[in-house]
Amino acid sequence: MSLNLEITKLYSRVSPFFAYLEKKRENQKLVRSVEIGGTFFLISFFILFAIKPTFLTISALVGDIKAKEDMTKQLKVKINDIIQAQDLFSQVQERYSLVEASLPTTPRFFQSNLQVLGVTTKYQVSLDKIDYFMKKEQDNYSVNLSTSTSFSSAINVVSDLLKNRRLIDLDGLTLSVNEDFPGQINVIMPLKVYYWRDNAKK
Amino acid sequence: MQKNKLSQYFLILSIFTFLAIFFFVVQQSYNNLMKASSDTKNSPLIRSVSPNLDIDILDEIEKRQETNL
Repeated sequence: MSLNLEITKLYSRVSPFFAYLEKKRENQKLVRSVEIGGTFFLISFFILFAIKPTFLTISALVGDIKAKEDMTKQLKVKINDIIQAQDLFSQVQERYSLVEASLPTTPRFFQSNLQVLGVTTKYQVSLDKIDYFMKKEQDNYSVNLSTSTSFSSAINVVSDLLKNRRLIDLDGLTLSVNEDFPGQINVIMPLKVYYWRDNAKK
Repeated sequence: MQKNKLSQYFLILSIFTFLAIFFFVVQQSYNNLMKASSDTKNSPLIRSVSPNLDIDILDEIEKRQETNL
């Protein structure tokens, strides 16, 4: 009984000391946490206001330098290509009229008309009607030919038109029997005549 | 005890803030680095020109007849 009493007395004396030690340890822990947290905050602040602008400027400059280097390389290749293209073009310059005759830079209605009439006259086909249609923003215009002729002449005309130097495409072909003139057929030929349009150049 | 919890939150918050700002700066720097290159790639100035000319096509055109009246 007396031993128990002694222990209780001793404990009551020592316990405030333990409580004090515990509190001090907690305080130390708290101070350390605040110190570490504060350090991180200060580093963040430093990164945001000192490191960030510097890094952004450096990265932009390095990026610019790399991009300029790449561009210089690519432009050198392009200049070489242009020089090669110029050499090639000078070799074929005298034959440029061929290209112009095949795919002119303007519609050149007169030339196409001359081609069509030349072919039809060659096979003694008289045209009943020639219609021209031109739409905006297109690299061709339509020419509709209507005639009444023999089958073989019609086929020859079609064949010659497709082999013509001027680029002419047959958009369709309508053949029907001419009941008024036996042995003759009615032919409708919608043609597409191409040219090199200004916008296409760009 | 309450103070201890608060200090822990403060520590976690500061670490996450640091990480967020760090990655933000890294990402911005990388963007800056790549932006100039992507601008250059899309530039019409460096669009390549093909020097290859199909000369055979001229022979083909020459073979085609030009009809005249």
